[in-house]
Amino acid sequence: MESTTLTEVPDLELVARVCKGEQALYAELIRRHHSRLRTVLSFYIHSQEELEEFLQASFVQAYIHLESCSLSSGFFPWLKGIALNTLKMELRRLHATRKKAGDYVRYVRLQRLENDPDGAQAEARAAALRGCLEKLPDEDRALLKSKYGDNLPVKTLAQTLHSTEGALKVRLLRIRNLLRACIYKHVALAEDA
Amino acid sequence: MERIDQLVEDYLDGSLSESELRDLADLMRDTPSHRSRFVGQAEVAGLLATLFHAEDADAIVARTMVSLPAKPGVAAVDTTTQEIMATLPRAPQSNVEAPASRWRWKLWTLAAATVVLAVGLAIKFIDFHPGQLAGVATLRASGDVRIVSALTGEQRSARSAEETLQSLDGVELGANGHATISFWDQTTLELTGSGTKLWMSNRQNSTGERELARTANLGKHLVLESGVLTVVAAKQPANAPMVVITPHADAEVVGTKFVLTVTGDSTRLDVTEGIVKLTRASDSTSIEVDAGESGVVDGHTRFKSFKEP
Repeated sequence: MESTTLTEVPDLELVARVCKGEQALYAELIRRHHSRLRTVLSFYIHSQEELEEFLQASFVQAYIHLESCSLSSGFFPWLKGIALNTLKMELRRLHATRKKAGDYVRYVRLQRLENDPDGAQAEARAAALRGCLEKLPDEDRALLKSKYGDNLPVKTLAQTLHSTEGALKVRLLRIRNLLRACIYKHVALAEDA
Repeated sequence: MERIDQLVEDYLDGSLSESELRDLADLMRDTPSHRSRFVGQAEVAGLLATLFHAEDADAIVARTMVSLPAKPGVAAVDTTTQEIMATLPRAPQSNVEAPASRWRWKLWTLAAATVVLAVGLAIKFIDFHPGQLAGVATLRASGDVRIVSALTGEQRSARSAEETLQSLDGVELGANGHATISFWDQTTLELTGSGTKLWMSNRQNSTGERELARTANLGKHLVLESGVLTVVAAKQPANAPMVVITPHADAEVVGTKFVLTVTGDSTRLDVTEGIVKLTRASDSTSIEVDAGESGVVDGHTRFKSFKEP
């Protein structure tokens, strides 16, 4: 009964009540926004393990700074700002250590933040991706689900599908290229509209 | 399939070897279009992984709730403690949705037990001090000194009275700026010179050789972007050395006094007491610099400790 009522409480009321000491209500804010925040972070972070770490750290840091939450723009934009600032700090650190190959590769990925400081592209492209997936043949969608949903390495997938690793890599590259082109087209159309 | 595409595919698949990772980085350093291809593929792969991800709201809620301090605005729990907490068993996940009040009761019981266990483990296994919970460090400043929060982007002038610095805070000196940072274990840092910029960065990651080395550590990690930093370090726990990262090198501290000077293309280390392990960022080669000796990383000076004549 209480959980049904809780879902109807606006974000900003929850924030105010958490600030007054009802810490348990913060769980409801996490439930509401973790999925959307995950989408934004996935635009910049490759490793799922690292993404989970950033997701959790963002919610913890947001809680710590909750009293300075700008209520005018809403909770999620403020939360997203905290998460992106954490990534910008990581970018700054990687700028200092990018001579190392692993750091450089992560640095290149995070450099996206310099052109999209408020993470708007991430959400727009995620929305476009959903539509683009619908246009793929069923077998390609099934392959993506095995690869990214079940997180199976190419080697395992190749064995399961009786294919070669090389052929599968080419196929995955081709599908992602198609999706990428479709996403750009959708986003461009949306911007024109 | 071109070499760059093969390497990107293996990187996204998690099957790239160390030497292939270096090849990938070299190819991207040399050619902007390779960087674009990598970023484009990685973005789509990241979004796909999230789209197909089987979400477990209970898990993220449970993990986050046990990491929260008592109330908003309270100094963050030191990342050392968070690292320990992260190693503890996570909340059990039920397939049956329990009534909210019962679920919340279970969560709080778990949280309380976890905190007690974490503190116990911290005291038993590492050189833990309750002072760590009060924030990362304290700052005393004079002249033009700014504190920048990397999280909220807020900037403020440091007061002359003592201030608490959090993990991911930055300290930047302006004209006539001078700052002293003290840690709970009596380690002190002195920042001098206009333009000196230091970040309190305790974050640790699990990717890359250099990062893996850090994951094993629970010590203080700082990033000196530019300027002059004098360190007087208390003896650090054996499993948790303090590391000062510059654009060109890592200085690993055991318990010592030294000065690090970072300019555009070089990092210089002068050790007064003790020994500092200096690791060159470009190839991870390390040297030990003894008391009275110096070391320079600048791309042309021989990487070897030396005494000034």
